[in-house]
Amino acid sequence: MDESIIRTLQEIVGPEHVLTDPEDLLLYAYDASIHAGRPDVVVFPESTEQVSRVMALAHAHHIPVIPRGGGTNLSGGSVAPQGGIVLTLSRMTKVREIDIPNQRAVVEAGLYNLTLQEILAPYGYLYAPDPASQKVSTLGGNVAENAGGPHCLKYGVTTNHVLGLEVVLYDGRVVQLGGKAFDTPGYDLVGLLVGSEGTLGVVTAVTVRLLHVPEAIKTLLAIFDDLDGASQAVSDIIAAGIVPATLEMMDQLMMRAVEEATHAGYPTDAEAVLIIELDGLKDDMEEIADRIAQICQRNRARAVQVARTAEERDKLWAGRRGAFGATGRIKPAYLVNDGTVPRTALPQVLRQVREIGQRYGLPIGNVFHAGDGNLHPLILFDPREEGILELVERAGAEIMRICVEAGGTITGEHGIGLEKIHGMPLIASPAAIQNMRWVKEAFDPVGLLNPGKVLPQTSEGVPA
Amino acid sequence: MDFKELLAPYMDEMLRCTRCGFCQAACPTYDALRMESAVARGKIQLLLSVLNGRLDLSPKLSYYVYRCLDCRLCQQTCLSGVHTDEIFEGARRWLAHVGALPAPLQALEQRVFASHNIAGEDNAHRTLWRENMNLEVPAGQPAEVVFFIGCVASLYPMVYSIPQAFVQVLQRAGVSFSALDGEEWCCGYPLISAGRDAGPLMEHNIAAVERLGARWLVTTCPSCYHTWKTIYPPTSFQVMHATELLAALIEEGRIRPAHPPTVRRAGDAAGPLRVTYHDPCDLGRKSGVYDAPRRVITALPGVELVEMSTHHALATCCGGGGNLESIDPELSAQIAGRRLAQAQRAKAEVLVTACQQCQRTLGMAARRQRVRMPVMDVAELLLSAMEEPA
Ligand SMILES: Cc1cc2nc3c(=O)[nH]c(=O)nc-3n(C[C@H](O)[C@H](O)[C@H](O)COP(=O)(O)OP(=O)(O)OC[C@H]3O[C@@H](n4cnc5c(N)ncnc54)[C@H](O)[C@@H]3O)c2cc1C
Repeated sequence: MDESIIRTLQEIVGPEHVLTDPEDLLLYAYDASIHAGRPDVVVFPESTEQVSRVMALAHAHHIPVIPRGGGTNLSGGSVAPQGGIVLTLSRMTKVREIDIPNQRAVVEAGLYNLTLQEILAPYGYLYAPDPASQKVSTLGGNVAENAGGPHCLKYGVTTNHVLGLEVVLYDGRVVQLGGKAFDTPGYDLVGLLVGSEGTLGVVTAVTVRLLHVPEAIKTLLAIFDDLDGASQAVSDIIAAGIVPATLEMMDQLMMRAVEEATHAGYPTDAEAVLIIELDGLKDDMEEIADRIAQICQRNRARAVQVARTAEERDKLWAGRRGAFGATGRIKPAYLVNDGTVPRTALPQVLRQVREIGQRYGLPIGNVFHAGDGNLHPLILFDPREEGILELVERAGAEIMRICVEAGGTITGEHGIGLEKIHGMPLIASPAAIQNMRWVKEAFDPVGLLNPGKVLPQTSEGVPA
Repeated sequence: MDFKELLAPYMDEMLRCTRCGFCQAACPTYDALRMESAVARGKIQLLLSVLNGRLDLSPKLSYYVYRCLDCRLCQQTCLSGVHTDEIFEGARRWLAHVGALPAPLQALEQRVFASHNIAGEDNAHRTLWRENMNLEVPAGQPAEVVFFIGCVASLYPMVYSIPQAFVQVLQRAGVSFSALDGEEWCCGYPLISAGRDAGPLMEHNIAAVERLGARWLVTTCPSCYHTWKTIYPPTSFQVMHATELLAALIEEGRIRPAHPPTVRRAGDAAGPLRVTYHDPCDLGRKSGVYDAPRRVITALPGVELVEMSTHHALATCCGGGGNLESIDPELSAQIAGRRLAQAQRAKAEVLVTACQQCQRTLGMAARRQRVRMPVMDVAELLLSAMEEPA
C-alpha cells in the first residue's frame, strides 16, 4: 500500500494505531472460522470522526475496508481476502448514555456484549441478546451478524433490540439511523443494517433497548438416552404453547468436550440434554416447570433436574457457552453449520445430520438453540489430513441442503460471510439476490465495504 | 541452525486452539492493549506461521512472545485446554537459542550470571534488608528451616519490610532458622522464564541448603517457591511458602494474634477492617496455594476478608508477572492500576498479598494513582496484629 496513505492513516489515528508489519497483518488475517485473508494495513480508530476520515480516505483511493470487532465470527466475515484496511473498533468502547427511565442505552460499537450487561446489572436491567461469545464479541459485531443467543427464543435476536445506529457510510459521511423510539418513519434502515455483515456501512454506535431483570429464574436440565426423544420434547414443549427463555440442546459428543473443559455437571453417558430456563414472575413458574417435566418424561427423559443454586446454574451456562471452544479437545478444527429448521422437523433433520456424519466418516457434535430450530452441527476434523477439507465442505453443503429441504434456512445467526456464500442461491431467489445487490449498490456504489462477502458473484446462478 | 525443532513438539498443542478468541476476556495484557498481538490466540497463530514457513523470525515476533505476564490466565480459561504455558515456554527457549532474546533480558541474564542476583549488585549485599534492624538473624548456621529470601526482597528497599516482618514472626514463634546471605544465589527463575537454563544456580543453591542440614526451605517469594518446588530436581528437604508456615504456626498455637492489625484507616471507617487478598500467579494458579494466606488473614481479630471480582484460580495478574516489567514497564504499570481498581471496587481498606513483586507493582500503582490503600504482605499484616515482645 502506498506510503502516503499509511502516513495519512497515522495522522488520523496516531502512529501506534496503524499496523503494517507482516507479523501484525498475520494477526488480523483470521477469525474464528476456517477462513483467512491478509489485510494490507490494520487501523484502530478511537472515535466516529476518525472512522469517518479513514472511510473518506479509503473511498478516495479505492481501498477495501473490512470492519472488525472481536474477530469471533464463524463465517469468515472479518478476514480480508482482497486485502485492504481492517478497521478494528476495539478501542471504541464508550458508554454514551444509560437512560433507565426510557429503558435505552447508547454505546459504542467496540464494547463487548458482556461488558454492557455488567454495566447494566446494578440498575437491574439487561440487554437481551446473549450470544455464547458475549464475553468477547462486540456490539458492532453482534449488530453486523444479527447475533442470537440462548435467550433469544423468548426475547428475539439482535434486530429486535436495536433501535438506532450511528453509521459511517462508504465515503465518510456519518448518519444517524433510527433512535430511541420503536419506529421511525420511512424505510427501516436500521433493520437493513442489522445483519449486513459490514457490507453496507461501519456501525460506530448502537442504541439498544433494555429489559428489566426478571423476578425469578428456574433452570432445568432434562436428560435423555436418545436424541429422538430430546428433539421430540422440544417440538412438544413449543406445541404446548410454552415459551421458555431458553431451550438448548447438547449431544453426547459435545457434553464430553464440555465436561472436560468446565466440569459443569453434564451427564456424559446420556445421548442428549435439554437446558431449559424459565424466567418471569415467581407465581406460575412451578406449574410451568411441572408441565415441561411431564412432556420430557413422556418423551422418555431419564431425569429432569433443577439447578438448585445460582452457582449450579452459572456452571451449566459456562459449559454451554464454552461448547464451541471446547471442541479443540476432540479435533483441532471444526466447521459449524448454522441452519435453521421448523421445530417440528428437528427429529428428522437431526437423524439426517447423523447419517451424513456416518456416511462421510466425520464426527459431528450438536449444541444448539433447539427452541428456535437453529442447529449448530459442528463437523470436527484435523486439517492436516489429506483431502479432508473438501470432504468437510461437502458434508457442510449437504447439511445446508437438508435444512432448506426441511423448510428452513442456511444460517440462523452466524452470517453468510465467505463460508456460506455458495448456499445463498439455495435460499434466495435470483430476484431476491438481485434486490440485495441493488441495496448493496445504494450503500456501497464502488464495492469497497467488506468486498466478496454475503452476495454471490453473478456467475453463481444469478442473472446480472 | 534455526532451532525450530524446539518449537515443533508443540505443533499439536497449538493446533488445538480453535481461535474462538475467549482468551481476549482473560488476558490482562489484551485488556490493556486491545490488540491481537497481546493474546494467546494471536501468539499461537504467529508461532504456527513460523513452523509453516510463512513467517520469519524477527525482533517484533520475539517482542510479542516475550510481552507476556506468563500469568497463565489464558490457559486457566481455555475451553480447549490448550497448554499455553508449554507452548510459550517452548517458544521462549527457541528464541533464546537463536539469539533473539530482547535486549533487557540479555542484560538481565548477564547480571545474574555475573553477580548471582538480578540487581547486578555485589552478592554480599544480600544482607542489606536486615542491617537496619535490631535483630540478630542467624545466617549460615545449621538449622531446621532455611529462609530463602529471594533477590527482590533482599536488594530492593521498597520491600525489605517483607523479610523483616517474616523473621520477626518466626523469632516470636521460636522457630529455629537460618538465612544463607551471600551463599544464596538467584533461584534461576528469571532465566528459566526467559528460555534459558539455570543449572549452575540450582546446583549451588541445593548444596548451600543441604550444607546447613535443613529439613525445610521456606520462601516469601512465590517465584522462588514455584521454581524450587516444580523446576528444581528433588531435594533432601521440603519446600514451603511462608504463608503455609505462618498458617501452621497459628493453627498450632505458636503464634497468637492479639489485636486487630494496626493499619491506617480512614477517619470514618467503622466495623471490621476490610482486607482483600491478591493471589500471586506463581503461588496460586501455578502452585495451587490459595488457602494458607487466607487462613492467616482470617485468623486475625477484627478483620473481614473480602474478595475482589477475580480471585483464586481466576485472579488477575498484578502486572509484574513474567518478564513484562523488563520488556514494557509502562504496560506493566497500566495493568497494576487495573488490579488496584478491582481492590477499590471491592471497597477494601488494605490490599494484602504474599509476593514482593506483586507488592511492588501494586504499591507503585497506588502511589501513582494517589490511592490511600496500604499494600502489604501477609507476614506484615500478621506482625502488626501481634503483641510487642516484653
Ligand atoms: C465460541 C463461540 C460461540 C459463539 N456463539 C454465538 C451465539 O450464540 N450466537 C451468535 O449469534 N453468534 C455466536 N458466535 C459467533 C460470533 O461471536 C458472532 O457472530 C458475533 O456477533 C461476532 O462479533 P465480533 O465482535 O467478534 O465481530 P467480528 O467477528 O469481528 O465481525 C463479524 C462481522 O461483523 C462485521 N463488523 C464487525 N464490527 C462491525 C461494525 N462496527 N460495523 C459494521 N460491521 C462490523 C465484520 O466485518 C464481520 O463481517 C460464536 C462464536 C464463537 C467463537
